[in-house]
Amino acid sequence: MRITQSMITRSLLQNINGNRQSMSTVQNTISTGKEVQSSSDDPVRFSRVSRFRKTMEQNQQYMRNIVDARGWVDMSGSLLEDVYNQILSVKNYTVQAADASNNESTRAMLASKIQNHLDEIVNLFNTQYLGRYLFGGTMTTAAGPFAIEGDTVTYNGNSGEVKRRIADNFDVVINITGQQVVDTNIFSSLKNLRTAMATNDLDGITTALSSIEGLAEQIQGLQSSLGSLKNQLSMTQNRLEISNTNLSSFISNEEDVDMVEAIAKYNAEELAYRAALKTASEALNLNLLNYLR
Amino acid sequence: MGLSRIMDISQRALLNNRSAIDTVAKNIANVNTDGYKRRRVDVAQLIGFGQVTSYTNRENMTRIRNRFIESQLRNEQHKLGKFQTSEMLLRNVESIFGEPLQSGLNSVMSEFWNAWNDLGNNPENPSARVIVRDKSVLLGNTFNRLYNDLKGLQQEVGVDISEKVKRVNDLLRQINSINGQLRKNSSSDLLDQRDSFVSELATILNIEIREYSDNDMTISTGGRILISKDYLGEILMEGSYENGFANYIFRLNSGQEPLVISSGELGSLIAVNNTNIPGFVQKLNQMAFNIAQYVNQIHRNGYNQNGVTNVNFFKDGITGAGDFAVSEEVRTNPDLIATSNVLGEPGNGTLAHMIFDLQTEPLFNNDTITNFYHALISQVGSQVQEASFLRESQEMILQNLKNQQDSVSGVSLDEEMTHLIEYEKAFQAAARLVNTADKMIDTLLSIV
Repeated sequence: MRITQSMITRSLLQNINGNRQSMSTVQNTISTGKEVQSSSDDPVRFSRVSRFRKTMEQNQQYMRNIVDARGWVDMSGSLLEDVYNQILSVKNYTVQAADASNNESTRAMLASKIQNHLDEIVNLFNTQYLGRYLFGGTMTTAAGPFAIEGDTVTYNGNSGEVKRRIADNFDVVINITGQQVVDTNIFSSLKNLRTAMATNDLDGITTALSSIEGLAEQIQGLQSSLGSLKNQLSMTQNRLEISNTNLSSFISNEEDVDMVEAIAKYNAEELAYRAALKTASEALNLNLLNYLR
Repeated sequence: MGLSRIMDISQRALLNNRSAIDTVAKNIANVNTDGYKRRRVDVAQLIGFGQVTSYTNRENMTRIRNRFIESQLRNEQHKLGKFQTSEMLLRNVESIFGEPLQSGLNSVMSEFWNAWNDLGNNPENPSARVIVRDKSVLLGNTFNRLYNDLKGLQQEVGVDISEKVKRVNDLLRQINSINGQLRKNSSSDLLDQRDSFVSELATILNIEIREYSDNDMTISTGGRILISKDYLGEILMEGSYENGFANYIFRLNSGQEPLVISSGELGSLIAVNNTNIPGFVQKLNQMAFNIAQYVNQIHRNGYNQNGVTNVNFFKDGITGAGDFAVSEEVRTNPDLIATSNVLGEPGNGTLAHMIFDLQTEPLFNNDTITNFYHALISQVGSQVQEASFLRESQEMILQNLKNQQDSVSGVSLDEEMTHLIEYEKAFQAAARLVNTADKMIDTLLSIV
């Protein structure tokens, strides 16, 4: 085969250019730390990484929802705790009132204490969290879901559920509605108790005592349902966190550069490049002309 | 045989070697000229017994070439042109989509859906509404930007196409006029010039060439003749517009039937213009249309804080990515954003959650919008990758063929130097011959 000047130049140029190109590719992966930077680098891996990223983002949204839900549930729980304590003091007063040695005026005094507790309980159930009434269902009213007039409490909210999405197609209900509270008969029991005390009706007070005891249990029941919800939330959060840790290591596996390998490769490319340059400087000077005098 | 005869022969030998050295000079001068084919002087038997059978002149040179390699080269050139252009244009498309950057549609869409989720969690919160509005406006801008950038790219491609067509017609005219001159007399320089025009033409579009022994040449593309002895073709280009996107068709001045240009730079430009870009835009349109449609459908049935219902969240009558936008009333008054599916429940965020859920629903032939978009990006990526791969291998093929061609037709300095010395020596010898003959004549004359 005849080897001509243009062939030598062409292949030298091509080789040098090729070396430059692969050097710049490796350099680029080293400086960005990523092997797959755009879809064309590797469409299959890129699309897999995009899917992983999307799932991670969604998980993060779910975790934000869980944090929000926990705040709500914690707040509801501590309010129920307060209500429970109120009920306990009501119970003490009731035992006191049921004592036959107490007279009418003591009972009337106790009746006003019960009224105070009732006011306080309604206040507690009207608590807002981040601008929303915790026990109002999905009805937002300016004055709060519970209105009290004398010893009569009315509920103006609804039984709408407040939900948070904590996984794909999975919602949890995080609120206890006012209706559920009303259904414990807390307000009617307290009203009956107060009336019985105010009218010095000893039989009525004795009947009320048992219903107050039942009430404490019911409030505890609501609390424990929140407790198990909290459990569920933290379990889901753990699961999401583990899932995201795994996903980010998958992503890193797919797109990150193995530095040791990349640097070794870079050195090899650089060596080849130097060799090509050296050859070029020698080969281009080599020519019969040098020897003709 | 007289002494003057020797003088005569030596003179011709001198001329002959000088013209050989001329040729060497020409070869050396063109050592780096692209498309130059080395010349060689045909030295036929110069001196016969008793008579001169032939002598050389400048035009009696042969261009050393290998027709087989040349035709292979032309057959491969248009493919390189096609793959190079496709790769460049599709890389442009890829960078327009700009994944996986923060400004890419993927992350903008995620933010859009998440904003709805946050609003669903806090339906009474006015700032959550403003965020939904802002993210939706951003989504609209992103769709518009993609649409306009793709359209802009297509317009540039259109300009390129018309320039390439003009260039093809220029080249055809030039080749035709060289053909005319060659019919009158053959010239190596003209042949070289024609070769370089043909080679440029072969990069722009796929052509088939027939060369005849009298140096005439017929060029055709896709079975349609562009140049023959008595015909000079011209490519005409016609554009039609569909949804603001141009579609070009071509024909020859000789007839109405369309001319299909499938390869070469021009072929690739046409494919990107007529098929690829409109294909991507159509998918974007489908996404934009579906998002607007489904979100509006849900949104219209919802109620805002004040019980207002039947409001379009996105503009009514959105046809695609180009006109995708949040409706004017929602944009100016985010309070109109509905969150509740029941009248009179301001704390109800079900509707906003339903909109969030749209992203996981199979809205595109059993595919979610996210997967649909990922598939689009993969499609762009794999098209770039394919073009890049083909371009690389095509470069190797062409490199190889060019080397083969140069091996036959290229100038080797070493070889020319050797020839130079060879001819120089011969020239010296011929001169010496003249000298000797002269002395012989002197000797003879001195006898007298």
